[in-house]
Amino acid sequence: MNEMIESVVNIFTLSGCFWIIYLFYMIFKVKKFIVKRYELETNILDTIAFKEHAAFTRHLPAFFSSALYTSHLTMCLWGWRLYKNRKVFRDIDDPAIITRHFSKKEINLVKWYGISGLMFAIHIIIFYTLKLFWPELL
Amino acid sequence: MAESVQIKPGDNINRILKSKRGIVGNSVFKWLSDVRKLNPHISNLDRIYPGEHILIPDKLNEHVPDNKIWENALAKIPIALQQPQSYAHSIYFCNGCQSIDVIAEYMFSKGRFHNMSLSSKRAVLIFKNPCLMNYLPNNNPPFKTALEISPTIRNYSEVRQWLSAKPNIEHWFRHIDINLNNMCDDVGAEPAFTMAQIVESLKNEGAAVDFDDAIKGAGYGVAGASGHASAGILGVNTINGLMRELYLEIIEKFGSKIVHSKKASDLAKIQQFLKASPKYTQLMGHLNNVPKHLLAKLNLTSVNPNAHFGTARHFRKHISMPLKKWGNSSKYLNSTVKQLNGRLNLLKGVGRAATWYIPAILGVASVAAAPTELRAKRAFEEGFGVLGGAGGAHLGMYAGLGIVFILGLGPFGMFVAVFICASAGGLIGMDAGNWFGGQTYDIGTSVQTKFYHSIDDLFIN
Repeated sequence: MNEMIESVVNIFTLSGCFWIIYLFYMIFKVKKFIVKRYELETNILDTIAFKEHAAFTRHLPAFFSSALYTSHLTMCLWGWRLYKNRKVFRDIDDPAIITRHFSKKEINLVKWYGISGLMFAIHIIIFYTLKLFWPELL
Repeated sequence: MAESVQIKPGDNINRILKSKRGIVGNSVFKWLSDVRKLNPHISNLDRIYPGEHILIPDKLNEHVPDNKIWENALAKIPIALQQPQSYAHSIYFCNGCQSIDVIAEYMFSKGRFHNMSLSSKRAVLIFKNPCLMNYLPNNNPPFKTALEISPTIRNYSEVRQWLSAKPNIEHWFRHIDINLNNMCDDVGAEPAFTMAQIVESLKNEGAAVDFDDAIKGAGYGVAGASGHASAGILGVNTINGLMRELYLEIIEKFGSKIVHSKKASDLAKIQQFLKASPKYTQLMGHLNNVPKHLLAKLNLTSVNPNAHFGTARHFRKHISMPLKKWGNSSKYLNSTVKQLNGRLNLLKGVGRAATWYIPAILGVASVAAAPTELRAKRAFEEGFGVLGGAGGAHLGMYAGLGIVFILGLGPFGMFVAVFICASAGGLIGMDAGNWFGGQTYDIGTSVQTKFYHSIDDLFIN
């Protein structure tokens, strides 16, 4: 039994390392286009979300502002049903207003970024759950 | 020297060339090319009308001075048109589909000269906008070319003045905002250009207003900005500043409820207060300087200082309601950012240092301080710690923005919330990354030191 649990922990560890590295890779892949697209090539920063709410975004280093831009884009891709009636999106009727500025490949990268982030977050949650309830295992 | 010929009934260009210069046969085509250059006011040489003047060159490729060309082209201009009509410029942006003839007709569509011949209208338009000479062959100026179309003749110095301002106006119009393309299609180029200026002015003032807010919020400022663009006599910032100050004053005096009330008695109170305010007189003075042809577009036909009731109504409708948004914190945050401008690179440097440099230095120090046999493992731990920390901070911001958008916080609240999420994410990620790195090293060591017979053995002891 112990051996099996240890095997599972080892798999969990390797999986965690993989997702950290993959997330890191995706961060830079996404950052490469998203900051330029939001800040220079389109007028997305003129929408209410960035003018009245996240007004400081453009002043952040690209590494961090890319997180906010990716999050904003993800809301338009996956979270539109949740966000469409929110105050911050009152000037956007259709998420395509935002997403049309990105190619299919770029949209896929953003989706994979979201997936890798989610996987990393799941690993962190499991890690802290184990640490809290089963510290001797770690 | 080139000769000016007045067209008589029954004339055509071939007959004139034959009678005046003895040109027949194929050489007519070479001459027609020259005749076209000398007669920009004629759009089609096959359609010439009695009374028009055509300049016929003496020989092929003859150099004719500009004043001679324009003297001929403008020969049929009514004397009344040559008197100064207005000093205000009226700017027209071509949409790429309208020919020079259509623009010339539009130029004189209102006013007493609308019955003037097309060739005379063309002559005035091209004389005032020499760039059109380049588009005579296809008769179609390109999209967004700026033209001065006030229905009056200008002298050479005024034309030169306009030509010096034109490139800047065109550049500005093309440069400012991508939304302008859509707006230009919807409502026309000139209002779009005006809006661009207003948005730019407001942004320069540090206000965070979107395009629609600027349209509504600028109110009278629309006329102000357009006047500023065309005649260069008004500062839109002054008008907008005065409007805002007055709005804040009446809010302070009467409270938001009365200011936004529809009751006539409440409007009368505001009216009385405005009458007494020196700023209001000042504002009306600025508005009175706005070229009147621009006011018509806004249905603000009167800026008579005595028409206070109507003005108060406009004031509330066009100015008060939209400008109430100015009180939000984004304005102050943007102002703060503006003040910090120049020190932002320092702040960015601090951010980078907190994310990368400091953890990396601490990691290297930690590895160096570790016992020799544990250094490799410590390097793994610290390396993955940095990666996990950066990824965690990134995810913290990613998730933080999602939560904060649901709550609809303003910029300051969002800044604090995202900062907390990023910091928490970074610390948690770093801790987890540390552990994952150390464990991976242990697994690698056990793989290295053992011989496995099957894949199952890899994970047993």
